[in-house]
Amino acid sequence: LSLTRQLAEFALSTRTDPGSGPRRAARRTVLNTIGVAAGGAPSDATRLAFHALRDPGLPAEASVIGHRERCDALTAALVNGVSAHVEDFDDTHMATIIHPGASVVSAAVAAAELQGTGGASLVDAVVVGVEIALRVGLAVYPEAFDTGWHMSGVGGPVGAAAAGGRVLGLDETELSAALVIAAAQAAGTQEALGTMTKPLHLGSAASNGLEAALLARAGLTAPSEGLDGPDGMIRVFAPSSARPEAVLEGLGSVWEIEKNSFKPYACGVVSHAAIDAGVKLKRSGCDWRRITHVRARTNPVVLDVMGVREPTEELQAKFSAYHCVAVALSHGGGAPAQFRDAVVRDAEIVALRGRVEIVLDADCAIEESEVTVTLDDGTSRTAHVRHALGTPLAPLSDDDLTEKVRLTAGEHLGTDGADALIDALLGVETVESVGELLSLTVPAASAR
Amino acid sequence: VTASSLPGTAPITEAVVETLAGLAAEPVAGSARAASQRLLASRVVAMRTGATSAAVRAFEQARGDRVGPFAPDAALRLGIAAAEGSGPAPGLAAAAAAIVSGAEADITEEALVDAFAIACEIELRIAAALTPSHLLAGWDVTCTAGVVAAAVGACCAARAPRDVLGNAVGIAGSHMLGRPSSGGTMLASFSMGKAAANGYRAHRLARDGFTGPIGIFDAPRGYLHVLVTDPVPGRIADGLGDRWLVTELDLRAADGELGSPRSLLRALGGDR
Repeated sequence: LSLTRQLAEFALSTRTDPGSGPRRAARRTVLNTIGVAAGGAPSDATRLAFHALRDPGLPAEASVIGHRERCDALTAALVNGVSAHVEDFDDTHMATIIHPGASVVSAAVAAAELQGTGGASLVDAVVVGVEIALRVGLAVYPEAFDTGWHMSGVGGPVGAAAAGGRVLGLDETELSAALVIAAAQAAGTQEALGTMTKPLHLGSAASNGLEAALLARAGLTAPSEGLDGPDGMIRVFAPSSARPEAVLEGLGSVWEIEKNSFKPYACGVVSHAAIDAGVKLKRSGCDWRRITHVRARTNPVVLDVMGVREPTEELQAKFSAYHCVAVALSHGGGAPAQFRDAVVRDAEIVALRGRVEIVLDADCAIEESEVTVTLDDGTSRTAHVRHALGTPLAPLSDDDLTEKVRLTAGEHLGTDGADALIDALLGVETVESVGELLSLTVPAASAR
Repeated sequence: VTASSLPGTAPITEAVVETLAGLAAEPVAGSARAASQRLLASRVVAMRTGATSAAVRAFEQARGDRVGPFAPDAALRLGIAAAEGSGPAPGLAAAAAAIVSGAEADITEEALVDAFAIACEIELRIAAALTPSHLLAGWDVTCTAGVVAAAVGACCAARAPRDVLGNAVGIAGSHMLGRPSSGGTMLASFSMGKAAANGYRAHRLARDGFTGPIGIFDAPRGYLHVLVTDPVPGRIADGLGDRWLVTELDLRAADGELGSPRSLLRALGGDR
């Protein structure tokens, strides 16, 4: 069997026990993705994408998270993918730097509404969709990342096609074609970090993956070697170091989805260790207004992707390691609120950012950082973090994750609304209608 | 955001966008216009030829009643049909996006040809900048360059201001696609359709205020540099607006007639 065929077989035939690790990871991914999307739904990027791309002439067949209006499934998948990623508060598979939830869950929920299936089917789809997205990533990482590709736009469409195809009930031949059609649309550059186009990569991945499943079901043909052939997607994205064998190694026994991490901070993941260190210093009683200099030792990739020295607005600040360290020291965290324009432009924060020096150290792991502050009396304090919160060796607990969703969704839904959404998401496998589940993301005033 | 995409640090991209905006403000004159008109006519013939192909039928079946009048789907459908009618070729995605956008703006045939000329010119120049190693790496340049050309075509047909053009180029440049391993299957034509749709969609998003990267021809982790290890970005900007590569294409006379974008879209079945 070809690699593509084996992936299709895996996607369609995999069954997991309710208590198994991959299924628990999938439920957490659904909770995190939909919860974070409920928080991101009012963003400018989401609103603009919805306004620009929705066509009132198309059937209102799928829910748009956080909005009363419905639209066609492909647009809904795209807009929900943008909402889920726009805060940069979703998830990360550290071995590939893929954020799988936004694309896979957004495709799966739109497919579930098209197909009229419930939460159990949704979780099945997320298990295989995330697993396949991450394994495609393993085949091209790190070369694709180092070249400048946005990894979520590379693996995301394939995972979204697998999830969408599973929900839609494709057969193996159809799903094989769907995976290749989706792989042909892998795209997205890191230059887009800090612009609205970054979350659009995830939305496009969701929509393109679902579209690939629909097209394959309708008979659109694709080459069987489109993933691992000589001109296939894997070798095109990693011409010097492609590892197509990584896609199948341990498939069904070693689960990458269990290594998917959930972000504690709403910004680029490579800065999280430095934020942790800053939070430690804040909690130890360090007075940020007395800081005269900050030295943050990090992995070099931090400035490759988060080097904005003087951000002027929210999305840029999410890719400014300087801002991240400044708000960790001053606000004691990196929640969405710490990246709003008012904080980014706050004179005291601007001044503190200016005192931050990022020192690159190749011996420092991506999930590691050391922050030293010098105070106005000449004394200094240091905090070292070996494993950033949220990474596989320091994961968010179930309670942490629930609290995170309560925080971000509650900003727009209120406490009662957020709690109702969380209750439904914690019992997602018993949900009969995905549409009814998503209706809980709409603020009460808007729902009337 | 990489350093090279901060304002003032993307000189090539900024110069290209500035020049394109200037070109769009005036009618394209002389041999460039004539060549573009012939090329567009041949692309419309291809769309007609491919309109009833199996790939277009599969697309329509997949969409069911989800094909909107001016949605990116219309550009996608025309792009698939064009590729089915002619095989991969320059100007297919640009033509599809410009026709749909031009129909939306209700522009004249002359304005459509102007928009297509500018879009086609940028496509040919990007292809030159990407160098043969891009093809050897496994990409179909008519799609990878075509998506940016489609964005330019859609913007020019809609008479978009410079800022919209700049953001649309950035959004499109981060949604490129096209792998030749799709040759021999419907996926090849679908990829051309997606290039057209992604470009058109980039215009719609930028028009409404969506932001994109601003240094796609400069940034180390941007469009040009991720697609090829040895780009020659100067080939995009040098002589843009003075020397028209479209006049150097080997064009066969096309017997297809043009018309306004709305009439074309109606005739091609894309205005449902």
